[in-house]
Amino acid sequence: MENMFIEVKNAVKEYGKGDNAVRALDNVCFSMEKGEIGVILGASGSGKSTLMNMIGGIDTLDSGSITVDGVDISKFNSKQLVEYRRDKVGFVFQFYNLIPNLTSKENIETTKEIALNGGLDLEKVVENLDITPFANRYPSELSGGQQQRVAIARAIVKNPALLLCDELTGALDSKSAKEVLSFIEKVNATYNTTILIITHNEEIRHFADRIIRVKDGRIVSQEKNTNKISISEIDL
Amino acid sequence: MRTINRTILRSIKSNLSYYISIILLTSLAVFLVSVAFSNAYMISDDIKSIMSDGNVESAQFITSVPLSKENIEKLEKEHGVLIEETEYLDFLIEDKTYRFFKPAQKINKYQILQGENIQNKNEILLDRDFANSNDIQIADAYEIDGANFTVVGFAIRPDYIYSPKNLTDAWVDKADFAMVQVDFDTFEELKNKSSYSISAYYSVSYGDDTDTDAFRRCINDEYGAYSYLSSNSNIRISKPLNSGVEMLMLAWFIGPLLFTIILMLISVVLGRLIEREKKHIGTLLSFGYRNYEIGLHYSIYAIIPAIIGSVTGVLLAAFAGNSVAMYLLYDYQLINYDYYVRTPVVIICLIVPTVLYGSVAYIKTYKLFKRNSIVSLLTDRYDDTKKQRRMLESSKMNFKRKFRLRSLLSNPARTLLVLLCLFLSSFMSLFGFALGDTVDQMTENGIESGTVYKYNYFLNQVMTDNIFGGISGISVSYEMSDNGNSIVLNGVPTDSKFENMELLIGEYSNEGFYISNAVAIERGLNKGDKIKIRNTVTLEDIEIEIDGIVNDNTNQAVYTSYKNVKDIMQIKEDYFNVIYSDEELSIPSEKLAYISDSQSILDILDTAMSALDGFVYGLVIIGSMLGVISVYLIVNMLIEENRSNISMLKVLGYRNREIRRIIMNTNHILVILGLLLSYPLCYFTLNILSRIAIPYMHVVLQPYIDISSFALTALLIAASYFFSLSLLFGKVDKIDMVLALKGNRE
Repeated sequence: MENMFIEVKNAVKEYGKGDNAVRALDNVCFSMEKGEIGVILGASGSGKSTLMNMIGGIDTLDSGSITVDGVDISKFNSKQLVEYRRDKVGFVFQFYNLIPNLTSKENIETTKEIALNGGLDLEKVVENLDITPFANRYPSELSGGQQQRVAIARAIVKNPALLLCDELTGALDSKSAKEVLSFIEKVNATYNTTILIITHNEEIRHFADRIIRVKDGRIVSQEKNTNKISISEIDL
Repeated sequence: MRTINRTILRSIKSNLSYYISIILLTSLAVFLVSVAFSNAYMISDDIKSIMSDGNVESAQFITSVPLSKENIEKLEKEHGVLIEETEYLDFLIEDKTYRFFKPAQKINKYQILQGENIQNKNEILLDRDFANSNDIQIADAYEIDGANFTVVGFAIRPDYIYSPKNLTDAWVDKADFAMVQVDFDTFEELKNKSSYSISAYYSVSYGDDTDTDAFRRCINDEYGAYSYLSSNSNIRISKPLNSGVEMLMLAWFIGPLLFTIILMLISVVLGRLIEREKKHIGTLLSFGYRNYEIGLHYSIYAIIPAIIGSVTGVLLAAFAGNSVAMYLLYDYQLINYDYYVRTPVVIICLIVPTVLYGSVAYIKTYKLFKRNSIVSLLTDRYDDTKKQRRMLESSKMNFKRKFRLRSLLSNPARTLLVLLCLFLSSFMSLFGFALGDTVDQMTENGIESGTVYKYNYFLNQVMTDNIFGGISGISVSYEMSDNGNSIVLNGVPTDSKFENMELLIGEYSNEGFYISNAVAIERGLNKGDKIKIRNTVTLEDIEIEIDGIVNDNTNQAVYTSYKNVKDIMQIKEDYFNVIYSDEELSIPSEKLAYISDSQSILDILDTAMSALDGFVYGLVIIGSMLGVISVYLIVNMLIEENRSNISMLKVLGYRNREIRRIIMNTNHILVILGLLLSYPLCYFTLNILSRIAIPYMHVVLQPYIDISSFALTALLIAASYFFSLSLLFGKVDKIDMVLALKGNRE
């Protein structure tokens, strides 16, 4: 387990109290190496989003630990978590979460501005993700696929060590989904970004390096994908 | 109660800060309106009632031939009037003046405010303010000039509700000027003492059919009138009578203005709250609820804070309004004011907000139906962005600035409203300070321009040889022929400083007639216009053509040469009745009517104007409160609207401080704009108000705003603005990343 980029050990998270308590994560353990693409698979309510929130420093564990790039973030207070998210993590969400009154390019600028060491060249990222044609359009003027590309650009422009994608194709048709995932693949190849994708789409697992299955807050299986194929070869 | 109405209280609970703000604003508006109108009616009613019950005089006059009992009866019969000689004795000791009045039978009859009437000799009734200022109680023994009196009660004369010792005094000294009512025998006894100075004049009360001009002519022709002062020129009577009107003017100014602003603010807030319930409304519509049922349901959302706010405002006005009234009436004698919130005011204050807020909510809901189909109400994602107008897309400007600018420009109605609130807040504070500045300016520059010489000695007789020194002049009481307002015709000596008085219009010549700026502005007169003035004694009208306007904002006066006045008065000899001097002169008191010296006037006005401080601070406090509440409401709304953006920025790693700057700093520019706008509009309003007030005050207040007042206003507004923002810091900090992201996934 040495030199693992992400190490989750005995992670426990409960919501609610007493009889109403729900254990969202139950002694979860898994790890990922630097530069890998990981996919967490599970049904709705299985705890995969909770797990992503913990790794992303959005929420905190009740017990256990999460180490990212050698640092135990489960010990972090809220201020340290802000700095962690700021410097290390990029997020992509199912419903894009773009700021409605900022254009595509301006949405990307929101993270570029706070990036450690200035992040990546914004123009290049825009170009790489084929955003240029709609760079000056507002989110409401874009298709779902275009919005998700902007969301990916926004996440990677600060050159995060870890990119977390929560059901990033969940709201897209298969063509757009494939297009978006090809950008994720490109990001991983270009910037060696460690990427963790949460999805319930089984097909996505084929282009991942590591596949983790979650059920009722527990890891039911985790495996290294030895038959990894490019997204272009996958039929979504 | 319908089941859906159960959501109302739950919604109020979850939007408590909005509702509290709406209630506070409503209470503030209702309180101010109730207090202003109730006080206006109280002052009007109670003062008029005292004057009517005590049969206040219509005029007072002095004749060279004393009126006998028969003369009085004859005049009363012929002219349908009541006439009575008013006599009083002044006793001065240690800066205190005791004015003993001869008991009046017909006119200016005193009324007992507290205690018993005089039954025995040496019993006295005092005015309540003097007694309060000197800690005198009913039944106390009180010694004046070696004589022992028993205070049996407190009383007021209807012609002394506003009670300066002299008619020319610009202030009231309640602690050192006592009005004492005694019985007839005591008065006669005191009259024989040499230490008491006697004054007397005739008071007249006109009947309904009295031809006042005929009566005055008769007085002058048959008895040689020496002076004639109508009640509308008698400050002791006219000032309290006008104060009710002034208060009503203020109430009509404050009421509609505040209600309009607050209503607009509430309309935006309610609109937002209803907008947030779109899905709920869509669901109800899909169930088959009718539009009006849903409209009425949401009207209740608005009616609840309206009722709570109105009731609180009225209750506050009922319990605390009395102290406001006592402050406003500080200048007047403490009569038995009957303060209560008038029923029509209560009804209006309860109905107006309820109906207006309810209607606003109904209209907002109705508009929502019209704009959206049920399907779009049920799926409201990105509805806001559809309204996004294209702006600054290609600009190199920092995204934070663009975000703020778009927040402002994408909702112009709301931006305008915030600007209006911030402007009003700045305006009220600045207006308060500016009012003080304007009055200060008048006391300094106005008195300086109106008093050419430091000492003005007005004699109680005309003289021909000036053995006292100084410069002799003549000053004659006139009134405007059309409305009877007092005006003084000043015959100024040649080679005097009067010739150097600053002329705003025209050039000085010995033959010319110049009116004071106070007259010019009040009556809209200019060079070349003609005015008719009437001698108050002879009732002879003269028409004069105006050759210029003198920079004198405090006197209702016409200035001309001594020779011109002599010609008008048809005087052959060098009569004079006023002496001007820059040095203090020794003139025997028995020859003096009164002395007017510039420094005393300044001191007196300074003291009197310090009473204005409370009003100024009141405006400043209300302005700041309005600013704090309105900014709180709007920024709170802004945060609510941006919950998912804030959450997203947090997820992206923005620090709370940075997020606050992006979201909450949007209105900074509006604070500056509001402040800048308040300056010219404050100046403009002061100008308008000073013109409206001229007929009541007869002086011109030249609007003046000191730079320090503007700086202080800026400081106050900034402080209250940042205070409002600081109250909302926690709200931004508390927005949960997980919750907001979950919300997006619904």
